[in-house]
Amino acid sequence: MRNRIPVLISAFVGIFMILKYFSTAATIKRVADELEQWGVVTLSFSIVLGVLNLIKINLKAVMERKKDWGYKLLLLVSMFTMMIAGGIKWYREETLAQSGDGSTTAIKNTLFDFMFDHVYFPLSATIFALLAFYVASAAFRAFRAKNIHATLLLVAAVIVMIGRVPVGGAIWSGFPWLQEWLMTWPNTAGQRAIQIGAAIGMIATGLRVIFGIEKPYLKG
Amino acid sequence: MSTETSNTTSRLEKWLSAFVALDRRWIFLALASVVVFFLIFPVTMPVTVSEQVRAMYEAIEALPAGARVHLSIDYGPGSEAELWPQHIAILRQLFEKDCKVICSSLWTDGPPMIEKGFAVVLSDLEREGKRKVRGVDYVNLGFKAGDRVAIAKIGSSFKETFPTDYQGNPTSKLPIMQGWDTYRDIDLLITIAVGDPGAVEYIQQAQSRYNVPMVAGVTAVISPQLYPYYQSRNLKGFLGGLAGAAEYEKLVGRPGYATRGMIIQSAVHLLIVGLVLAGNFAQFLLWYIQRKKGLRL
Repeated sequence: MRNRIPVLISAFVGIFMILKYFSTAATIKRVADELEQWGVVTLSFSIVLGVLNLIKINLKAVMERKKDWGYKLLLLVSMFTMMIAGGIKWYREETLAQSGDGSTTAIKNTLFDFMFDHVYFPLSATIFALLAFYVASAAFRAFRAKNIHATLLLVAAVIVMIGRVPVGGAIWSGFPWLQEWLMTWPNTAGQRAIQIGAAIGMIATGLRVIFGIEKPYLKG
Repeated sequence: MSTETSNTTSRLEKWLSAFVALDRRWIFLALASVVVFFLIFPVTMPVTVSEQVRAMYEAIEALPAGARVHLSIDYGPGSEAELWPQHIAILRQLFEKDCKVICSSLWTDGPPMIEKGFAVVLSDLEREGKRKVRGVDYVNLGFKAGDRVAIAKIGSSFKETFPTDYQGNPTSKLPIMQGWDTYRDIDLLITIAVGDPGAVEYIQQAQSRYNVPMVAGVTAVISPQLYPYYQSRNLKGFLGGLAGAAEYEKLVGRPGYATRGMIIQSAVHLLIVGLVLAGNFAQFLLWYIQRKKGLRL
């Protein structure tokens, strides 16, 4: 019984979601819309679960003075500071919205805005920008013409890299055209093959879940 | 004579081996030098507009005044370098066309990016004497969790999915939200996205289901995935990375951040290609010398 109820629920949800796509019947649409709403609400709870899990793991590591506990403490302090700042902003805006004066003006220059603009924004952009350095280093080591496949990859990469930027056209007018041809034809063919393959795999997995052959939600 | 040749070959072999296994810090230094140099001495590069970028521009240009546009901002500050110029250029074009802009996000750090975009574009428009009103001409519906499920839900009811906007106002009372609720009432769907959930998920869950016209702005690594959808006309057009943004800036006639970045991107691409080719040449020469040595032995 413990196994049957989850299987029945997933089969019921799966069938209605498929039916919604192909049917125009109002009842099916209503049920599927309601299920979608439940899905959104349930998935929203996963964020709460994630935050609680983060607190539990990091707080334990800080209390027990485990390796890098200082960083974990910093993570917790940053998270709570941002949550409190966001909460204050939300409360002020909510109060303004409920005051009934019809105002729809956003409150600006709050602590949350300051921290988002001057702490989170530059830090996040910096971490992503560092990727350029690692990509350059990795490209130097990885793109080696060791065999025919690697050589093909190397040639395609060089053409796309040069043809994608304005300097490519300045070096040789054929570079942008060649780049566009590679992206439009060989790339599209490859991407389509991958996407069709993945879609067939997803249909098969979906059917297996609906029929209760596969039960990933019962694991762990 | 023979010893001299042997010494030269040995020296060359040593040098080549060192270059093939070049310390990555030298690469980092070269890259940083190129970026800093062109930041200090900027050069304007000629930008050629590609077909898919022009198609996207024309799709937005064809919108009538008052058209409803759902602009999904699905990125955070990490992708600002590539997507912010796209975001600003598209938003400005939409406001100049007098479209009703309905913004939302599937990424937690998306809503503040929406607010920043509004602040920048609206202050520019105000300087030009144009005024847009929040809740009437534009709205920030905020973040919605649930990825694909959230997209499907947005499609069937905006007001149920977003009962309040980012500021906490009930969406059912906002003038911009009156008289419509689903994707069937949307004239154009635009997503500016960094990954999953993003453009591909919107095509699968919203565009193909509701047949809503759609365009997208994505990072350069995501753009290869969109070519099949552009070819099948699921997408009316798309922008790929900073280069796509520069092309778009050219079309809207406002060269900005992306156009200025083209010289840096060109120089960095040339540096990487140069390093890759030099690395391969050195590897080949090393292999040739060692093979020749082996034959002599």
